[in-house]
Amino acid sequence: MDFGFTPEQGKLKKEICDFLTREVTEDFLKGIDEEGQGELSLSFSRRLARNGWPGLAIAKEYGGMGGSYVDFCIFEEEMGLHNAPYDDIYPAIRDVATGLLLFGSEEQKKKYIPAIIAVEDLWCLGYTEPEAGSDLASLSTRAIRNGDDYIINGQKTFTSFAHRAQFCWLMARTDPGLPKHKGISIFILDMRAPGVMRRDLPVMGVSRVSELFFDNVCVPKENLVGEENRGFYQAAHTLAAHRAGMDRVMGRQGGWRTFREIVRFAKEPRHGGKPLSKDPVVRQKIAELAIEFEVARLLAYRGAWAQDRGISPTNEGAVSKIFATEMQRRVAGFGMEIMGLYGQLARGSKYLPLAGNVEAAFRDTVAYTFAGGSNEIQRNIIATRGFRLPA
Amino acid sequence: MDLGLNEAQEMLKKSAREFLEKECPKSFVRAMEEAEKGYTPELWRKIADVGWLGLALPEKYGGTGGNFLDLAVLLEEMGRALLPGPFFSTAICSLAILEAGTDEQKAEFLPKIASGDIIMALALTEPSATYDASGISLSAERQEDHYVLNGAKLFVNDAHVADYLLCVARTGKGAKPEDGITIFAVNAKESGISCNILKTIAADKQCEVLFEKAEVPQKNILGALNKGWPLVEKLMLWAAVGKCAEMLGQSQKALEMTVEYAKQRIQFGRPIGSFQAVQHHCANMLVDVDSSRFITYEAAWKLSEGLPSAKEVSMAKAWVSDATRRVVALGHQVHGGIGFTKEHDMQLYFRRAKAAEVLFGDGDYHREIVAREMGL
Repeated sequence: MDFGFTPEQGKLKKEICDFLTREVTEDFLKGIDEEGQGELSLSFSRRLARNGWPGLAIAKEYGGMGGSYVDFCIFEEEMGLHNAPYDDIYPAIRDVATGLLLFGSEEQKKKYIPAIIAVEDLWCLGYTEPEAGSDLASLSTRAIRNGDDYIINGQKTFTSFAHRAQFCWLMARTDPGLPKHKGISIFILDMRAPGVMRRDLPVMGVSRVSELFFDNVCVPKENLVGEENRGFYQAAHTLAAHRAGMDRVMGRQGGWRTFREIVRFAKEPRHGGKPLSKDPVVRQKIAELAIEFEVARLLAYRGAWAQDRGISPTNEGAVSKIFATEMQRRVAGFGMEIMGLYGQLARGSKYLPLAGNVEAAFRDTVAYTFAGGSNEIQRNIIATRGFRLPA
Repeated sequence: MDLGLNEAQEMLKKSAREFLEKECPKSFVRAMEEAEKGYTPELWRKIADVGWLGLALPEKYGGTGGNFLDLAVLLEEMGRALLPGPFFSTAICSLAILEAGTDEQKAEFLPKIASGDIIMALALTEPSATYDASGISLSAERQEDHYVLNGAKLFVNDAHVADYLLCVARTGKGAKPEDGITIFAVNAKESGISCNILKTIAADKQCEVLFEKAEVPQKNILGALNKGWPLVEKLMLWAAVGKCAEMLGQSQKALEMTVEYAKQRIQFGRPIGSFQAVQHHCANMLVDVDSSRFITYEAAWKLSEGLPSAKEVSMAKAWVSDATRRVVALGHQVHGGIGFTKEHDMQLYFRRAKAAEVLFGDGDYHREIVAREMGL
C-alpha cells in the first residue's frame, strides 16, 4: 500500500495548485458566485484547458495526456481545494468522454474527445424524464430510425448545463417492444438542431437546470454511440465513473471551501468574546467533519485507483457518492447551525457573513443526495449488484 | 498511490485467514472467554512458530523484518477471527522496545518475544481512566540501583499472563504532567505485584494490577528517565491503529455474516435481503467498512513510513471506533433475535467492538486531538 504520490504526481499537483492560486482569487470567486455558470467561468475553464489537465486520464491519441485516473483525481482534488468552477468540465469528461472511450466509434472519439478536453464543446446529459427519475429505464423519449437518421421525440427534465451545451448525451428508446432495460440507446444530439426547445426550471439551489423538448429532431445514424438497444448498460458504466468523482467531495457547495469558511467563522470571537471553536461541542463537530473530508477523499481516490485497474467503479462510485453528498449536507447544516440567526442572511443582505456561502450551500446541497442517482438507488446498487441480494 | 496490498501482504493475509479459521474457531473464542488464562500455550506456540510474533521485528532479533503495515494486515485478520490472547499486547510492547530500547534491552527481550518465550503487557492506564499524562500517578522511587513501584494500573490487557509489564510510572514532577514520566520493563512475577482479572463486556482479560513496593532494576528503564512520555505517545499511535485494524476485521466479518443471513432468512415468503429496508442497512454497513479500511491503512502507512501521523491516527481511531459500533449494531438489527442469542457469533462481535472502541482513546478523545491539530 502507498497513500503517497510519485514525484511526477507531486510536480503535477504543484503546477495545478500554482495555476489555481493565481487564477482563483477571492474577487474571481465573488464574480462566479454572482454569475453562476457564465462567461467568467467558461473563459477560466478554457485557460485551464490549455494545460491539458481535463484530459489527464485520456489517451494521447485522443488529445489527452495519457496519465492515470489517480492523476486526474489529483487535478479534481486541487480544483476542489481552490473551489475552482468545474461545471464546464466534469460532465463531458466524466460521462461523455468515458462513454466514448468505452463504446464510441473511432470516428466519434477523434471528433468529440479533443474538443471536450479543450472545453470547446460543452455537453449536457439527457437522462432524466418527468416519468423516469430513479426508474431511469422506463424513459419514453423515442428514437425512430428513418433512413440514415434517427428521429427524436420526447422530453427530458432537470437537465443541468443545458442552457449552454452544444451537445446532449441523450438516452432514448429505440425499441419499445423489448423489456425496458433492453430497448434504450445513447445518441449524440446537437443542441442547435431544429426541433430542440429548452425551458429553464428555476430551483431552490444555485445550480441551473432545464427542461428539454425534442420535436422531430433529426440525429444522423453515425451519432448512435455503441450498440443499438445497449444504452442502459452503457450508461451504467458512465454513471459509475460520474459518481466516483472527487468533485463531489472537495468541490461544489458544502465542499472544502464551505468547510474552510465555517472553521474561520468558528475561530472568530463571538458575543461574549469567546470564539465558538473553544466550545467542546463545536470542536467535536468540526473535528468530525474534518475526519469525514479525509474519509471522502480516500473513497474518491479509491474509485480512481479502481478505474486505473480497469474496474468500472460501480460499487466504489456508489459508496463515494453516498458518503460525500451526505457529508456535504452535514457540512452546510452544521455551518447554518453555528451561525444561528446570521445563517439566514442571503447574498445581497447587509450583515452577510461568509459571503453567503453557507446559506447557498444549505439550499444547494439538498439536491446532492438525489441528483446523479438518488442515494437510495445507490444503496440498491450496492445491495443488488455488489452483494447480489435478491431484487 | 496504491490502495491494494502487495504480494507478500496478500500471502500473509491469506495464510493468516486459513490459520485462524483452523486454529481459532468460534468455539475456541467462547472457551477462552470462560478460561482464566484467556489463551492457550499450545496456540501461542503455533503463533510463534509461524513467525507472527517477530513479524515487525528485524531479523537479527529473530524477526522476519516486516513493518507496521504488515502487522496491520495481520491484526485485521486477527480482529476478523476475534483471536483471544496476548498477541496484541506483546506486539505493541515489542515495538516500543525496538524503538527505545538499548542494545542490551533489545537483545534481552526481542528474541524471546519473537520466539514466543515471553508475553508482555502494557500497564498504562490507571483508575483515573485517562490517556492523558495527568492520569499517571503510579510512583517509582529510586533506591540505590533499583526503583520501587507503588500504585495501581487498571484496564491492563493480559497482565495476568504476562512475563513482563511495560509500566508507565511517575518518577518526578515537572512543569507539565508530561514531565517526570518513565517507562519500566517490570518482571511481572516480582513480589509486590498482584493482578486481578476484571469482568468486562468483551471478556477480554483486562486486569487491575497493584504494585506494592515492587522493585525493578534501574537497567530496566526503557528510554530516558523522566522523559518517557513521547514514547507513550508513540505507543498510543501504534496501539490506536492496531485497534483500528482489528475493528476493521471485525466489521468486515460482521458485514459478510449479515449479507449472508439476509440471503438465507425467509420472511413473508422471500429472503429478507430482498427488502429495501434491509438492503439499505447492508449498504450503510459497507460505507462504514470501506471508509474504515482506507482511513486505517492510510494511518498505518504513515506510521510505517515514519511520516508525521498524529492527526491521521486520531482521525482513524475516531472514525473506525464509531463506524464499527454502527456496523455491528446494524448487523444485529438485520439478524434480529437469533443474533442476540449467545450461541450466535454476532454478539461476540458486538461486545468486542465496544472494547476496541474505548481502548486507546474513543471517538471523543481522538476528535479533540484532531481539533488541536487543526489549530482550533
